[in-house]
Amino acid sequence: MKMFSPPISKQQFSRMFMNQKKIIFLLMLFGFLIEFLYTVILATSTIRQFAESYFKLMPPMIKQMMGFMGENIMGSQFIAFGYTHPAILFMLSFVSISIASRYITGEIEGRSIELLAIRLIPRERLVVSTYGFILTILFMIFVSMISGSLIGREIMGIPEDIQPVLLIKIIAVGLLFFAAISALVTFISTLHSERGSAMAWSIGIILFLFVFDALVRLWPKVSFLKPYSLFNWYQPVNIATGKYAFFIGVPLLTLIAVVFLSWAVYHFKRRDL
Amino acid sequence: MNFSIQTKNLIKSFGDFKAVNAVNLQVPEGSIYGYLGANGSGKTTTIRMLLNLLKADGGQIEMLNESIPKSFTKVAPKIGVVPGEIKLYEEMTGLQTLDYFQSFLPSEPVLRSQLTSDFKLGQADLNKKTRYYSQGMKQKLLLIQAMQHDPDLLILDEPSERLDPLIQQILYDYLKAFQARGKTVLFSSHNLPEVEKVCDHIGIIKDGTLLVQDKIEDLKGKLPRTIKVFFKDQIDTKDFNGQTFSVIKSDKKSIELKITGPLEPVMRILKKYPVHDLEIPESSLESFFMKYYSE
Repeated sequence: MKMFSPPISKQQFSRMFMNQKKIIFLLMLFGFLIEFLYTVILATSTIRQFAESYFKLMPPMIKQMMGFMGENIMGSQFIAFGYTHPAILFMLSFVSISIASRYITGEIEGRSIELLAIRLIPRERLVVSTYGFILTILFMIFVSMISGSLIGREIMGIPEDIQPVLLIKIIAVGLLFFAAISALVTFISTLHSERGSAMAWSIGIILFLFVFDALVRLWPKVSFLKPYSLFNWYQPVNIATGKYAFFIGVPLLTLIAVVFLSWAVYHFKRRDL
Repeated sequence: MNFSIQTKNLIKSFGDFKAVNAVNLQVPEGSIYGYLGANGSGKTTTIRMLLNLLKADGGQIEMLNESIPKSFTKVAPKIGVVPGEIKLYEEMTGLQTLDYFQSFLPSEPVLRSQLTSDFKLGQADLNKKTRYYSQGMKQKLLLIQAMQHDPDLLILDEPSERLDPLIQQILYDYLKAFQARGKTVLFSSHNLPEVEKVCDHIGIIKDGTLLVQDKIEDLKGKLPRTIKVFFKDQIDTKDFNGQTFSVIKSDKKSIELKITGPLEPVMRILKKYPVHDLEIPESSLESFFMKYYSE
């Protein structure tokens, strides 16, 4: 009788968690504080006035890129912007890249895969476990971010339109977006045998996607390419203003995640280690 | 004869380089099989194909009566492996490392306490993170993880590297004990005296081709050797030229013979003469190995 092996190995999962627990805590704290800071800025009128005049000074293209078009920023827009702050994007992308390259390519580079692949079988469980771990960390960070927004809203007593349902929509799309990014970098990690090259390729591709998104937003001649930009499908400000096309974004991001994860599993199953 | 490992025409190339070329490895059940070859001869590539780490370009593998890679899942829990050079998880202690690799197996680490004690890896060492381990300690830890669940088949890639002679001897004793319990060991090495000392079977690989494999005793019997016989009386040297032996040197009461086959035919002739003394040096696998490798 064939024994059933769950796709995620609890041993591998707990090893990764034990290794990363301090960093996970720090990232959660960082995410919480960033979103809390946005509520503080929103609630503190002088800072808000400063932020609003700062945004007003920005060229329209930049505001368009950031998702702000109006002169008067809505509270929900302002809070939603906190979820696309470059520091947040960098942090969440870095989580995916560093975990995938360490626990997939790093195992091959250090040749510990020679022991792991005869114990953690079938070997593709390593890929699925790592991907599952990345999603778990992203979920925990998003939860701490939403906690920062909600706790901030309560403490600061912000009488504006920051509804928990809006935040839930933001984290659902955010998780889906980073699930797609993580599947892509997981796939890249399965292609390489050196951690450095896996990281370099992953960072390079994500930066390219980011710059491509900036270009299609800022350069009217290529704005028709906007739907083809991956980052176009993570726009919390659009979610806040009701402009996000969920019926396209959700299936598209799901498809990207499924395709790249399946490809990663398929490739890792067949490759030489 | 049953084989714990059997390959048929196993092939692996890396680009134009043929690392393993039609290797027919036959590791008998209950043997300690020395897989001997110089660095880069194809030993590790063969082992990595056995362990489903590399996909063979051609040929078949059977391990513990299962086809590999198809049934590797069934075989894996029954094997213990010491890979060539690996980086241990430095953030883990020795004990956590042993627990981690054991946790994937359905069996218990029945031999762990005996092994840690015999390999002199005490509790204090086991509680240290492996980043603080010396090379020798890392190797001992790898050996313990390979043997702790008492596997049916041990696959060891140059296992005695970095071990001191005392621990090497303990390892050899363990391997003999494994064999005594009907288990099989594939012992890859480039060190001939070690293989001669530990193993009962040998396979010699050069440039990806398996040159010879046999029981060490049988192989020695087939190797050319020189014997010297001293007689009490004069002899007739004509008697001492046969298909598998010939006279190298002789005088009235002694003779030096080169034998290229079994000893029996020579012994039959010797029975006719009153032998005073006989010198039969141990046949040298080393010269055989060197001959193959220098060709």
